Amino acid sequence: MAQLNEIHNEFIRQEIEENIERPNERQRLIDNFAKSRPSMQAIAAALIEGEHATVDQLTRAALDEGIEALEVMDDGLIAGMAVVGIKFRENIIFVPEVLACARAMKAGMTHIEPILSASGIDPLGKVVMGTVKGDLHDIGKNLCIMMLRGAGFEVIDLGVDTSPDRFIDAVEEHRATLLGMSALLTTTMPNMGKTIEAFIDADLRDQVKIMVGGAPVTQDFADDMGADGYGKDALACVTLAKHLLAVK
Amino acid sequence: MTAQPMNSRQRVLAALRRQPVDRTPVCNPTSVATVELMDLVDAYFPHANREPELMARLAATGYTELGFDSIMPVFSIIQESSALGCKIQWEQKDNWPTVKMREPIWEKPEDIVIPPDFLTHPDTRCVIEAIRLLRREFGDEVAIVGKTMGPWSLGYHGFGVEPFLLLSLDDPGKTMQCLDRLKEATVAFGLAQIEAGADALTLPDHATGDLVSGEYYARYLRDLHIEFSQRLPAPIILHICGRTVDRMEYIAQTGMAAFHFDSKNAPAESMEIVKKRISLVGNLNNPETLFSKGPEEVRAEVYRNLEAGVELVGPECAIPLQTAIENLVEIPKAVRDWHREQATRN
Amino acid sequence: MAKTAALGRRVELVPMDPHCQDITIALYRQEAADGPRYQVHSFSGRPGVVARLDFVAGATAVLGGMAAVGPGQVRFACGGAHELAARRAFLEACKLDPAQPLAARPLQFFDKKTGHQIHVAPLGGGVYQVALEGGDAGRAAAVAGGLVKLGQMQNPAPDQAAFPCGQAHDALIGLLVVRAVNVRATLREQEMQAARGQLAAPSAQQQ
Repeated sequence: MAQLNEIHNEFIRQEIEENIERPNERQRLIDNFAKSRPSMQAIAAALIEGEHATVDQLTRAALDEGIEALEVMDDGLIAGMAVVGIKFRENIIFVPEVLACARAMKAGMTHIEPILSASGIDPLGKVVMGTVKGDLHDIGKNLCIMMLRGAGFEVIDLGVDTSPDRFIDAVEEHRATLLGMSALLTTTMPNMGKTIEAFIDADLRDQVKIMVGGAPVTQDFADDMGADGYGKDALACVTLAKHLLAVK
Repeated sequence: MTAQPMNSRQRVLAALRRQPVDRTPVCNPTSVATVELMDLVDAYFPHANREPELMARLAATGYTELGFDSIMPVFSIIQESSALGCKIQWEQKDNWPTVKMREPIWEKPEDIVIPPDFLTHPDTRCVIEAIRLLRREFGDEVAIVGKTMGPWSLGYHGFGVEPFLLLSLDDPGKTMQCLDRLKEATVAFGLAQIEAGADALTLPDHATGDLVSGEYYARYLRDLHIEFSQRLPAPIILHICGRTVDRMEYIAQTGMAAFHFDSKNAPAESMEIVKKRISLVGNLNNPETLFSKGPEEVRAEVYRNLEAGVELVGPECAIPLQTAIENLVEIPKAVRDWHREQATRN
Repeated sequence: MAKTAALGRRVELVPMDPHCQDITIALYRQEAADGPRYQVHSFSGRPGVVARLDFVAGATAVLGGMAAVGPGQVRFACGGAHELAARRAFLEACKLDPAQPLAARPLQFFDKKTGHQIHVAPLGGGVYQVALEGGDAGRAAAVAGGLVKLGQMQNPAPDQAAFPCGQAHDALIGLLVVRAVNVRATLREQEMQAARGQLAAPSAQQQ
């Protein structure tokens, strides 16, 4: 188990000390940051502060230096987003700050994605993502999509207010094996069940795994609706996607 | 309480002023339209959002069928955004019309222009006409509540939620300029509805705790809301969804008549914070109680609000369109029963 | 509102009926001395609505194996509620094309996942046995579990589902079995039970 003082970057040390209370989360972050390069910690720090220009510049510099794209993504960008996710959950920061951090992540990913695509690595799987019919919220969904792409999935984003038919058409057209649905309103959550029912009616249910998420969604709800899995946040979404498609 | 029997309009207006009432009014600052009520009076969405006669007919069911003390005809939150030039997805009977926020119409404060036909555009005129029709039909018997969207919400509609929130972080000065321009739409539409006969106005301005901090409300909106309460000559019911206890102190300072609060905020705690400086309206839970449970659970929530001393009882926000009528009629029934029980005890 | 008081408790809703001018049709449950009844109802007064409600009530009765007891009103002969199943029968009835002939669903269907026929056999006393050609006991248990959940049934044996009323409801089984293969909670339970006692590598363990 690493110690806090083994983390090179002072800002990261302060962030963990002041904002991360749950012992298991704290230790996991300390362990991850303690073994990452100072330049990666600098990227993570800039992302946590929402400084997209700095993340852009530091990401480019790291790649020019010869650091592997996957390392920059995991130890710089995703590591930073992990702290952001916890701060948001604890109401230390709110949506405007999260959007600024997501913008910073996107700035970094602009340099990473072409390298990953060109490397000829096959995507881990194809995922169709959308917010259900009647629901216009997409901030959480967009974070999930960013993380899924970062983790190596090919993602087809259907946007918001997606009807069951559009989900079905997209899954068929792209031969996706995973569908992710998001709902932020408890009144639109039942549309997850309607979409799953539509897949059953279309005799497609066995061809695709279905995961659901969104602030009001719970595991019990996901089970009742007939989903295969429930992800409580963007990081959990990636873990769940890998589990459902049996990839590492 | 007063022993003098009141009609619905008197009851609502007195409660908004925190004056004695014969019983707590049942008030809907937001929509109580349902798909079944649309069938009952043959006034379906989306047409009931665009044609004054249908709008008035559907809205009236809140009073004539459900037994509420108010009629609020502005079901959606997009009428003035349509008049400002936003693209609208009108949807069907079972869904709300929405602004296509993926196709924003503004990028900077200078882009915001209140068009000369803002109040004669079909979608604002529909509201004004519907209020006139309702006033003519019901006279002074029931409170007619209009609705005018606040500048923060209009900012979301015109810029898109993410760009507007990013602007609020990147450039507070420009954000204030946007709000200053947009507030004129809020005032103009509100005045027109008052002139048409509205007794009060709901003013939704979605600086909700689920999106932004309480400090944001104080910084960006409190002074504007004070200005609205001074410029609009009718009781204003501020509506903000979500967690708001951290900003209720600021809201109580605005001089507005009432705050329409969400079920995420406990009635007793909310009353404690506002200390009778503003009336509270609410806060029956929509998705978990009104939509998903039955009359018994509705009654329990009504009682919780009454016991806390909430001045006007009603759903926390626009109710889901599939809400069962039996749950809605339970609300005035529960209010009456509670008062009867209190009278027996005293 | 006097109209809703007479209708009972609303248990299901189709907000826009595509077969009849997008009217809203609801299913209300009413308590009676001989057991609950279900009323198919719409508040719409448009022309053609009465005939549409008659069709939906009739189709609900056929699909659910229920009896008509009044205009738009149906009940189970056993006097039981079987509310979840009644709601499913109503929803399926509303989807039906009125021009097509009405019939209860058979007690077997082809399971794409296993490539075998699933058969559900009545054993008497409201008990049903699930079997797969090819003998996949795990899959049969999953289907039985799905029936238990969807039909509010009991589970006397892993591959059996039983109605608490002790009466046969073949039509309900035919209606529910197609969906029973997709009840994810039951499937997950089966997978977990199968995995119990097996050591999983840390990377394979769910967080």
